[in-house]
Amino acid sequence: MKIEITYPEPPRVSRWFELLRKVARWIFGFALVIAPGINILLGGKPWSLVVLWAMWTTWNVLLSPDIVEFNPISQIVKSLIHIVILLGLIDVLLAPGWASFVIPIVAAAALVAALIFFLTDVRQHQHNMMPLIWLTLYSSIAFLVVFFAEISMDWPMIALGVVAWTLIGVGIVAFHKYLRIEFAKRFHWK
Amino acid sequence: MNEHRGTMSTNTASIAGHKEREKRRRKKATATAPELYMNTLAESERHTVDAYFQRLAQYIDLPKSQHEDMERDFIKALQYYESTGVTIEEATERMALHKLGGFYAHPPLRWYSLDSAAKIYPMSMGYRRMSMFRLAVYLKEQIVPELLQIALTFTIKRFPSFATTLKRGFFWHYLDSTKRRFVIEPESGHPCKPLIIHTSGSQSFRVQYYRNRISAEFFHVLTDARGGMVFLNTLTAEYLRLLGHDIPEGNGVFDIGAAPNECETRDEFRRFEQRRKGSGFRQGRALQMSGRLSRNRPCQVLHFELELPALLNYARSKNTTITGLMVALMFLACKFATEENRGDIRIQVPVNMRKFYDSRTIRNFAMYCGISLKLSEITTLEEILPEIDRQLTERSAQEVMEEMAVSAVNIVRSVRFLPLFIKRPVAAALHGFLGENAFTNTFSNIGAVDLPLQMAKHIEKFDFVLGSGTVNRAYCGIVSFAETAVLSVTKLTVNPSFEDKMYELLVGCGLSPKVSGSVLHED
Repeated sequence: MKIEITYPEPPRVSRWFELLRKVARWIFGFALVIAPGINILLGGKPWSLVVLWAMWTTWNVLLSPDIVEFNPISQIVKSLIHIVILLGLIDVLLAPGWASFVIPIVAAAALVAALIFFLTDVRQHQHNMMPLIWLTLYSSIAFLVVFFAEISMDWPMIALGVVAWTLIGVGIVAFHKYLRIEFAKRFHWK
Repeated sequence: MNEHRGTMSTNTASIAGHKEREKRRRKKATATAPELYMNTLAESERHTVDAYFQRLAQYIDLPKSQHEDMERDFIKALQYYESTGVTIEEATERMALHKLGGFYAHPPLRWYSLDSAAKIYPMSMGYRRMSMFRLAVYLKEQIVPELLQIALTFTIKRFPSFATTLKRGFFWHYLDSTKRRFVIEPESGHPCKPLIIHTSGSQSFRVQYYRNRISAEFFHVLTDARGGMVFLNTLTAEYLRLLGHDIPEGNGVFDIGAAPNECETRDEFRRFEQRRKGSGFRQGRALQMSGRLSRNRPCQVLHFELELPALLNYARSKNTTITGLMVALMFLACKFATEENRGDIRIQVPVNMRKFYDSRTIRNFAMYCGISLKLSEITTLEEILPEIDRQLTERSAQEVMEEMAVSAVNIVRSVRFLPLFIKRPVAAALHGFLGENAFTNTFSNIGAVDLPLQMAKHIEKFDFVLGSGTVNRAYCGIVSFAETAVLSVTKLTVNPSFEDKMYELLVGCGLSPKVSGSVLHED
């Protein structure tokens, strides 16, 4: 069978990222078994949970990029959620007492960073608004929970609450039409 | 004193001259592409072009960089026309700006929920894995990229559901309309490479060119082969018009001046929502052909070019159809290409639902049937043909397809309130079980392409390439036009057993195919 070549020569494909994923998958798979095993054998604090979550964060944020909607705002929000959970785990499982102070600072910083990205090109990022909305909602809910549960409220939480609620207010006034359409799209079930 | 005054005036003149030169240099540096282009034209042409670009600005409300890129597209097209002796007046008439409509000036407000067939594709896709297909048209002359770009710029507005970006909702993915400069690109590498769809405003299709070939590759969320063919034909018709040919609408060519009709973007699966009974997805594992899976997917694409009258005559002589004949040959080739000695070979055959229902949709409206034979039953062409014809007739009947469509709709309805992050892993696993592993191979026949006569005379042939999956070693698609049928084989393995046997069988049928394709890409 004689084949007449009618396609251009394919370029060489770089496979380093694929290789990195493969190596990481093996290492993480190995650690998934070994870390809890050692933790159970040695006893003590459940540090292996922190290790596992840190690996999951690395995989999810760095090695398994989103195939749909990969933009600065969505990545800030995704990273923040993973980091907040990691900080929460460290606080609860290993070294308690600081997370309620640190997490609001990290969240407020992420909220401001996402907002700056949004403002660099409002027209373009209007279509990537949803992660920012989610982050604002999470932050405002966290503020309300701390406020109504009468947990001691430090300045970082107040700052986070102020930023989040200001954003909600401004967002509703400036983008109410757009928000209505955005919610209809994002929550359609047909 | 006078001398001093003279020196001063010389200095002043020199400074003024320098300022003027600097001003000109700055102006040149900040001059827009149309201004620079107009500087190369004669005075009489300059007015026409100036007016043209002033009007163009009214039609485009895109970010500055995209606006400028579009201006450059039009300049390149004008320069091409100039190089071929077409006057500026004629060129601006061929590229009449009303063809842009309001598409690039209106904000992107439309959005489309995915049809029931398309919902699975984004949930089952992965890193370097995407359900794609490709349609290509071969013209009788080399492609002019400058005009193809303009043709796409004019055509895309007629296909609003294609001018979209895939987005993630809470329950389902959806298509969000995007206004941007949709670009053509030269072909590089193998067909059906996954698209980059994650960036803001990214396209879910690509238009490529190579020598005399225009190819359109689609992510299956947008459309099926029928819808894709309408797009490709409409694009090609507009391209030919830009070349100065008079091509009418009709016969699968949309009028790009007309407003998109709601029925063209309708989810036709909604018509099955009220019906209760459904079945058709329960199938066991099928045998797979042997051969190590390549890391490059696909690693090769082959086209078997056949004479349509000879193919038809041979199929008729065996009392079967082209689909029946090809599926039978594929069974024989698949048996040859597997090391297994028992089990079922099952070939997936997509069925166009438009043949049962009056529909003008350009979105997905196809189901599929599975034709299955035990390995031991696959003997000779003559012996297996009656059974294959029987299965094809029974399993692609309207009632069966309808039941399957009802099943698809019922499945979608039953999980509609589950959040996407729960549905996605389940759907990905089910897709592997129900789709890939349940079949050995796929054969899709999109039939004969019908075109206006004025257009047909510029076209040599078409081909139809199915994108690769993860398990099946080969996928086959066939399309016919005029006197030529092209069977395309998409390969996932270096092992050449399947296509070698297909070739041998086709030669044995007296069809003597001409084989073309890509180099084997394996590293």
